[in-house]
Amino acid sequence: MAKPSSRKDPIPALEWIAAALGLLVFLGLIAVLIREAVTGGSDDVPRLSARVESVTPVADHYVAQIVIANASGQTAAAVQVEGKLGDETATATFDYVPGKSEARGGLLLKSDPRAGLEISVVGYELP
Amino acid sequence: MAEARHDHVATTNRHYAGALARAFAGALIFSLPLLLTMEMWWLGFYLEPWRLMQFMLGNVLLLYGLSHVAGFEESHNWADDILDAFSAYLVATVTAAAVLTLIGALRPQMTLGEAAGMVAIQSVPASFGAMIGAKLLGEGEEIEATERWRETYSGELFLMLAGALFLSFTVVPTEEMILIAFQIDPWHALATMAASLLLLHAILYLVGFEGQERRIGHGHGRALLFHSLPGYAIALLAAGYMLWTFGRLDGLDLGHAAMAIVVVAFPASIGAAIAQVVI
Repeated sequence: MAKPSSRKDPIPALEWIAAALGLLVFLGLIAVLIREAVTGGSDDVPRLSARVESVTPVADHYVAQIVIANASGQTAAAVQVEGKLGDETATATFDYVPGKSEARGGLLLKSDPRAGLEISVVGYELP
Repeated sequence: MAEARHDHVATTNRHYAGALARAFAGALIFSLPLLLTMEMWWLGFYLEPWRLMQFMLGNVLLLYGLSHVAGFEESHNWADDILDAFSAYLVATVTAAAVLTLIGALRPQMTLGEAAGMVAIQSVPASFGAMIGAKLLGEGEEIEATERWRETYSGELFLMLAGALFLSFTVVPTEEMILIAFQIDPWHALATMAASLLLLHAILYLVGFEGQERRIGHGHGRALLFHSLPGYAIALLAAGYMLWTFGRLDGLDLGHAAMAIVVVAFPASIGAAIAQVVI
């Protein structure tokens, strides 16, 4: 009954709108990815740095919340962070620190980390 | 209402809204298992942007082809197929972004690049679902009857490619594909190849799925030579392409790369066969 090959059926406005939005999203994603490709070289070495964001005393210990920043475009996986405070050592492992991004975590310590906690990134894996 | 049932060309906004709603359902069914997989979240930000971009372009081309073979609404011509391809893409990105936000994988602190990568990769399976989900959920007979391309040889090969790519996609993100390539020896790989080819042939020509009589044509010999073997070749290609796109072949020697491809081509060949039966 329907005569599908004849081109008399109008295309509903919603179809145009949905397709236009779809095209827009597609081009938008491509644009963001091109920007990523241009700004962050992928065969770079991850440039990781760690800093303490805040310290919270909890029950019998302290939590030092840390931020790992990756300044290069290369994502690092299994990033290991070590914190040294006197003879105390605490470690944390981050699954991923994406390129040009930050990841957050915490180190647990018995004494107050504000008294000279030294944190360093000691290793990573390439994804 | 009755009119809408018989005429699958959506000509009013209301009919098209219905088709879009069904596309969302299809997108969810196809993509939820992958949206809930952590390897998939990470792929989006460690894949190089150019690999993601070529994948997105391939995705849109495939959507156009799928709309031609069996879209979520009956399409009259190439222009309509293009509109439907981008509509399905919209449905897929909205679905992926919404679910990733709901499960906390997509967070406000992420950079735009990370979020874009994550949504772009997850949109691929969702867009397959958006395009053909409605048909699998029982909307398809009228659509099928008017889409002639699926009956041709190139249409058949295209369907096998689409099915092979989708099934490869569901397994390639996992670490296990590489692990399996390391734990099997070449004899396992050869046996897997034989099993893949036989299963592909059996699903199309032996076990009696709908349309088997039409497909068998000139007997098993010719069916094997002209349909099952090319189908398996397509499955190998799809598996290799997916592994390469996801960076899984990087650093593998030729032998292990070949075994990884054979392993992924196993589900891919099942996908190729099933796609011909159900899409």
